[in-house]
Amino acid sequence: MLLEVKDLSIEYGSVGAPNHGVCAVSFSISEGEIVGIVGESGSGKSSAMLAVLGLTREGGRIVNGSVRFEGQELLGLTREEWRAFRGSSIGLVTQSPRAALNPVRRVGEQIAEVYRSHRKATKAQARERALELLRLVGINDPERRHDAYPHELSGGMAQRILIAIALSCTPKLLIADEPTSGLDATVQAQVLDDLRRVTREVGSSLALVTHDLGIVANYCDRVYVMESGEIVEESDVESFFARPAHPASLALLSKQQDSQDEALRLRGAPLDRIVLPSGCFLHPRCPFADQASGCMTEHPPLYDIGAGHRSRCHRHQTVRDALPSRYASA
Amino acid sequence: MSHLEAEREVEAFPRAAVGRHIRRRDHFVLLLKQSWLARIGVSIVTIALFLTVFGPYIAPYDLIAATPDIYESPSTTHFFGTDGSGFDIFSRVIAAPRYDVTIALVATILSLVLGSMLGLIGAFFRGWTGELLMRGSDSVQAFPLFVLAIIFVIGAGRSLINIVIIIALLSVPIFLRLIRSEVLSLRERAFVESATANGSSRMRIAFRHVLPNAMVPGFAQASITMGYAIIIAAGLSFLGAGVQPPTPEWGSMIAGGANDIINGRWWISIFPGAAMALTVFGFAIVGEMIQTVLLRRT
Amino acid sequence: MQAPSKPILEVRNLVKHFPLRGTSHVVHACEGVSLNVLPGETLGIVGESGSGKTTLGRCILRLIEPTSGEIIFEDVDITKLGRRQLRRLRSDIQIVFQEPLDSFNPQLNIGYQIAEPLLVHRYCNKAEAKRRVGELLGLVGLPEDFENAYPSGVSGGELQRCSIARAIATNPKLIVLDEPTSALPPGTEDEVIAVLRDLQEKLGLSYVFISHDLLLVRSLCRRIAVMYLGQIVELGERDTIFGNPRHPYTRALMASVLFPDPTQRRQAGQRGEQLEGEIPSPIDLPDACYLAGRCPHVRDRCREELQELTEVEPGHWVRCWRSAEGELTYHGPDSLPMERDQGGPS
Repeated sequence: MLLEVKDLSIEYGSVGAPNHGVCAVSFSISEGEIVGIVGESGSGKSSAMLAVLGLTREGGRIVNGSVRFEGQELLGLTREEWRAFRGSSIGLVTQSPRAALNPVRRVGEQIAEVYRSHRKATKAQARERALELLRLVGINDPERRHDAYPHELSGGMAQRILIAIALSCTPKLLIADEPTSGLDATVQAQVLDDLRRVTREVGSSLALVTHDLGIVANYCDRVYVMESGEIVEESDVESFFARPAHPASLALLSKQQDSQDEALRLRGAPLDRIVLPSGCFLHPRCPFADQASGCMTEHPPLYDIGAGHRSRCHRHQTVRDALPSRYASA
Repeated sequence: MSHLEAEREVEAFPRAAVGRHIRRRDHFVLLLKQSWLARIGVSIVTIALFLTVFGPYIAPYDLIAATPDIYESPSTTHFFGTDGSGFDIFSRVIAAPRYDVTIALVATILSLVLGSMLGLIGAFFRGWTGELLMRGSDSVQAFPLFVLAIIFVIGAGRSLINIVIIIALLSVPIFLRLIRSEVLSLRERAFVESATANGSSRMRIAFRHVLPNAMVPGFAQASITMGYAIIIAAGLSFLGAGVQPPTPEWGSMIAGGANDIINGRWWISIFPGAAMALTVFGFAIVGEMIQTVLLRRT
Repeated sequence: MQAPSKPILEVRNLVKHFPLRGTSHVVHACEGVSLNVLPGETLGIVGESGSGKTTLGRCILRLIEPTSGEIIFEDVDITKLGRRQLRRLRSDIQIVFQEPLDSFNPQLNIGYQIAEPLLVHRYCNKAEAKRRVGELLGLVGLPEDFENAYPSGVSGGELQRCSIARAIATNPKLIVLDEPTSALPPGTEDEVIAVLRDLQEKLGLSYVFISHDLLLVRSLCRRIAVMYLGQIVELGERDTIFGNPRHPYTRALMASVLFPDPTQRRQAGQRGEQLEGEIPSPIDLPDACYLAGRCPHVRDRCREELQELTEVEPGHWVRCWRSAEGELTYHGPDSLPMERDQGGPS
């Protein structure tokens, strides 16, 4: 296993009445794998992935859990150790690339800077590396783009620059947090194609954080669905899309269905998680919630439903049958 | 039991969503509860406004009658001591807001009204009218404020009215620019477009939708300008161009005691100075609070 | 069986140029757009940012003054209306904007703002307006007490439904929906779409649905216009556009749809449909095919002449001479992602 996260919990806000941003989340990513982490906004998916880099948002703290990368425990690293670690072993690609790039510095310099801060390299070597990376992420005419400022680049190109920066030290793992959310459809597909290609070429793993199941279906090998700060479903992509087994997954999928089935939607927006509901965290919003199955009283475990497909839902059988089987083969 | 709870949660959901909006008054109270800085700021402003109205009446000693008790250091009979004319400094410090705060308040209101009107005009008439307004305010702002104020007061005569007018005029450009840029950005907002699409008239859009929103930062700025205005009013008096002694006023009191500090009689200048600084500080905090309450967009 | 009904809205050769300040350059937001909308139908307008679709929507209401062209709504050319008549027209055509929080005045409660068009048009008196607001909120599936809420107090999806309630207040016949769901958190989009569907059925509304989300457009619209750099490059029935796209741009767009279905995985550089680079800025466009610089099927002629929108089959219009002359043939049913039941069980 390249990355193994166990029982990770993150809290926000006051210590007395914290908001449970992430509750005992466990997941793993193996070498060369592309893993999707999906969920609606506020489900805790970005928080969980940022924690792998030792980062939390304003007011957040990691209260429990373990993050092992190549067998080494990361939580508890000193500030200096984290700094050396970030960028060299795990790279991060954020959304809104224009905000992430320094507007007054040439993009080539920004790539070279990251490289030089982790590797001993002369300016000339760093420049070579920057040009190589620009070529790698699919930018035509890298010599000219090397000297461009961020505002001279289109959205797709700026996103590619961020990917180049993240890849500068050939990390083993790349975390991409909604990497294409501001981009147009044709550009989105191109950037994702390139992202998949380069991670394969340099042999890293990729964690794709997104809310778009279309992206997961097209680019990922495995998928984790997050909801209310928990992982509620995990599976390989084929089995997941053939028969999703959690109401949160159905809700995400229903957007992309032709038939908008009222009965499959979650009610309202995510609740804040200061006082966690008894039973399943999702039951106040869930169309499947049912007294007899214990949804209101018993917190569901991750049920194993075969071949590594697991669902945190007491009623996963009913949920699986809610959608007509999508493919004859499944 | 837990089932009932669950039901209630399902049912309560849309209500909770509606209830998330906090009324402005409640938000203000919430700020007071949560932040000690807010409590201090509001207390200072309240006291300053109270003294503006009642200060001269509750002062324990006569404000402008010379007594033989000169240069007494602070004691239980004279809390802040007395000065070279035997005036009780405590009485004069609490009576001074009558002049300082009133001047600043009237000047600020004047400049807010004038500045907003001109700002609205500047934003809606962007031809030569707007250009003239902008260049005019540029040239006012290009001068050092204080020098301009002194020249004006000396030229026009040292009356209270003139002091108010000059302080107001000097603050107009701040409001003009603020309101103008606010109006310009509001005109691009979808709710203004939406009002147009609803068939609302231009007057309705300007006065129902644009102006009330544009005034929001104006009010916050007004509280901050209040502080500046107090400093300018006191500063003018300090230089002898404002309210004249023996009228109780912070600036002239500070000036009057300035030479006594080296003689060890620190109390003559320090107490009015501290009172003024506190008041300015209080208005700045309240300005910040107004901004927080009015500008929040959740 | 039924004679095609008369369009409720006809846009003819609409042009909108924005002069660039201080230069002689011009931004071509709309470059000769013609389309029509039939009563009760939803016309989808798709395109990437910079394609001019939002400008087109604003021009239909004359929130932006078109540079030239005609917009005929119920036999009246609204580009020629005076300010007064225009205000009256605005009870018949309405718009819903992308960002719900931005389309409400933060200082006024929701009830007032929904009632505003009623009061402005003297549609009814205040008491009736209050009743009507409750009724409108009910129509979009919200409880009556929302009228007392303020925009910042309700969720994005709920506020967008309020925005729809406001748009239908004066019983309009046509509503322009400008990306009504793309600013909403995922998961609340479908509640808004459900409301739109429901209202169309109940009130017989016509929609112009502007979006960049092809999956959404496919599920909602009967006919679709594809825009690129201010022009419609392809216009046709939904199934034609998705099943048999003829314009190279449409085909690239279709090839970039990410279906939530791993059996239809997109392959990198799918079958040569990919375009070079990204959409250029619409400034000073050439007298040639606007796509020529990016198109994989480009010929010399494309760089020499402006392309005309040509009807290649009844109701299917394409702005590409190679398509019109049958040079770009369709590669067969499996060359593009299709409706997923097309393959049938095997």
